[in-house]
Amino acid sequence: MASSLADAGEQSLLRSWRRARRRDLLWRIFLPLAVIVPVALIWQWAALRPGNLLLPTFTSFVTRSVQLLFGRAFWGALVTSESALLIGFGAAFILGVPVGLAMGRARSLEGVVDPYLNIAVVTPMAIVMPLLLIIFGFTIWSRAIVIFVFAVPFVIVPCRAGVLTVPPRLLEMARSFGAGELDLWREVLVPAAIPSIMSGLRQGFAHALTGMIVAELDLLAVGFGKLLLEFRDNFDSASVFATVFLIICQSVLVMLILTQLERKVGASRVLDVAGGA
Amino acid sequence: MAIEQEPGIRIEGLSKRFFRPAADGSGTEMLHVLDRIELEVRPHEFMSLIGPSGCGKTTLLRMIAGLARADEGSLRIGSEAITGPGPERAMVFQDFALLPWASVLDNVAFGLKLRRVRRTEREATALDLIRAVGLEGFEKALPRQLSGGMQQRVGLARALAMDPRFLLLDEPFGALDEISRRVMQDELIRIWESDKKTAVFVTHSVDEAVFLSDRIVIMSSRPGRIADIVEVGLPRPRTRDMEQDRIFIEIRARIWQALGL
Amino acid sequence: MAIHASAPPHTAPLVLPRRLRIPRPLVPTLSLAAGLLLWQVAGSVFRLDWLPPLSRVVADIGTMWAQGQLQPALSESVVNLVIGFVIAAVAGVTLGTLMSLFQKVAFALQPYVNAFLLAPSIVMAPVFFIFFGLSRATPIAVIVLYAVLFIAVNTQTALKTVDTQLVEMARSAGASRWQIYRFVIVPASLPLTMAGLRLGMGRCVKGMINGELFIAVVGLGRLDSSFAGAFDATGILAIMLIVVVVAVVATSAVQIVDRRLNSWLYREG
Repeated sequence: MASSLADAGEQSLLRSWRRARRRDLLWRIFLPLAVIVPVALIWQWAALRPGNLLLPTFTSFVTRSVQLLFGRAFWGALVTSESALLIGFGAAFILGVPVGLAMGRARSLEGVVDPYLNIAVVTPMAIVMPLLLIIFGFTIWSRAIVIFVFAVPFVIVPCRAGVLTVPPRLLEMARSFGAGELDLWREVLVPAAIPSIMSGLRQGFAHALTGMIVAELDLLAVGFGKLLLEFRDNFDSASVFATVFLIICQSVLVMLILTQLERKVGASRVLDVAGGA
Repeated sequence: MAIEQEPGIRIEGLSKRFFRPAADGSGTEMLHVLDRIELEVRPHEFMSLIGPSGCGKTTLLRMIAGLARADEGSLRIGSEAITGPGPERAMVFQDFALLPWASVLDNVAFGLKLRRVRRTEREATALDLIRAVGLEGFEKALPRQLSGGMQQRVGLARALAMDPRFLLLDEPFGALDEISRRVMQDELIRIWESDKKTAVFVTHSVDEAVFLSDRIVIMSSRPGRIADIVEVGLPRPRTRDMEQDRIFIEIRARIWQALGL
Repeated sequence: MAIHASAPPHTAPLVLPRRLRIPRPLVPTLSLAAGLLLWQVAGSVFRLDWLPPLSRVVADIGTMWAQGQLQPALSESVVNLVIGFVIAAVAGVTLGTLMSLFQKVAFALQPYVNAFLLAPSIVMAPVFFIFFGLSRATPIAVIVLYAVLFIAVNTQTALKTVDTQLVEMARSAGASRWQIYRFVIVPASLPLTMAGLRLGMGRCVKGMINGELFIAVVGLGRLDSSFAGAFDATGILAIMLIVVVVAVVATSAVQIVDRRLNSWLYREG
């Protein structure tokens, strides 16, 4: 008797909690979409006012976005741009990870390397571009190198941090059980650093994207950059907006995948204090 | 008397100095962490090292483990000098030092993996030990899912999996609350008494030392020296009611006295 | 704490082969000095087109300064930077606070904030150019965009992750919602917010350069483009050096302000 009452109480609590969660989810989906309406209205109104030369109408923006998405120009540009991205970022990751890990291991060199890494992280790499242009000229390789230079500090720094923050106690424990240097790397350092490596993947890629765009806007008008500059010179602002919108969508998509990857890998390998400090 | 005499640990004239900036800012001061220690650890005995902070007991243990080097003196197992870590000595750490991403099974098998023991063999050994320390059912668990006491059982199992001749324990229960600590002491004594590997145990707790050990080395700090060595004349297997025994109380009092308190 | 047999490696002084002990704090400076020296030597010895020796680059900076080329460029860039940072800081903190206070606002804006954080901010430069043309507003808009969302998210997180125990304590002492906000949440969230502002300044500097290179009409960006066009490696390296110095100085300045503010705050508390 009493237990079924208690159960009923529990059931209704569970139900109302579930209802609240569902309500939250609905708001989370509805509100962002709802924001579009006033923005679109204001935008359209502002564009249709007399004396407006610059702002494309919301409708033309949407139309142009759809046209580009199904047209050849955008995808052609994408292939051109992204091929340099893959080469440049690929190199940054393949080289940056071992270098970063090794830097983390050589603790005594920490002070020697620190200032250069700090400068690399804080300095806008775009400033290096003209120099790279002089050295490497105008080729796909120079774009890839720009992307490499943008991305590599942000691959190296997290990887290094990943190794630096391995609790020395774990290394000592492994040594006490007979681990040699290779064993240390395989059994302790690399597994411990995997979340940081994933973080480096994500951060590096974000900066590689910036490098790709910057290289094309400033250095070499191909791919997306070419599209954008062309549209701009033709005063085709709707196309500029549309292209930018599509580039943003594509970047967000890839970055979302990388962020999820980082989270999944990180969650399964939490380096918690009790086990390692 | 066994025909084959197993070696103990012989420590002679062991010294270790440490430099650090002087607290009063007057330059660098030299600390005698260990000052000409002479000690012999007998085979199959359970020896405790006890003393105030800074008396060098942990340093001494780490030297036996091969993780630290002396400035002077010698450390020998039988006739062979200790130059580094070795398979005959296994350590249990105060903060457990488990690999956070590895399961209990993999953690226990860690030492064996480093020694290139084949997977089926090492997992079998690991499972045996997991059972021996009372963690059956938790083979797949991760360290963060376990309580402190359970994590230390894993640490103990890992050390025992190496089948070492010497078991070195660095305040293994220091991070546990009092109840868990007591439970673990019972566990340790039960496991140890079935095997009687030579054990060197560092602790802060007088009661713990008396309950567990055959001999207790009392150390003083600054400089780190042996103040006294006490034989614990209580029979084995040890039981909790011995804590009320007059011998227990006398030994305890003697230790407190030797510690100067 | 037990005394270790030897000092932990990362605080021990750097011991070189011939037992030369360099105190830890000096190592980074010396390393930088060594790097600069290497530049000078390599530049003099190898005579590459693109690697003039450090001395020549420094001399170029001196000449530019003397001829009055640098000052207007620098001042324009720095003014843009400061304006941009202030706008980003104010807007960012406001936005972050609003998002942490009102859940509906957070729900509505979160996807857009995250999207713009994930995408490279420079891609909005052409859009700003359409609006503001060749005026100063374009680079400032880029600078603002680079930092504002980052600061907003940091502020939001800072406010949301205040220790609930403290809040409970205040509530049990009878504080109103407003009082809790003012006396517990705001002070407790300051460190993280300041960290966001500090990193935001770094991003502003990046936005400044990236934006100006794109526009190439104001400040350092303009200078740089003209050097690039003329294949003047010395000039390019000169600007690089200046930009690095500006970036490091700006970030360090914010770091110092951050530290001062925090120590003052915690002395009060």
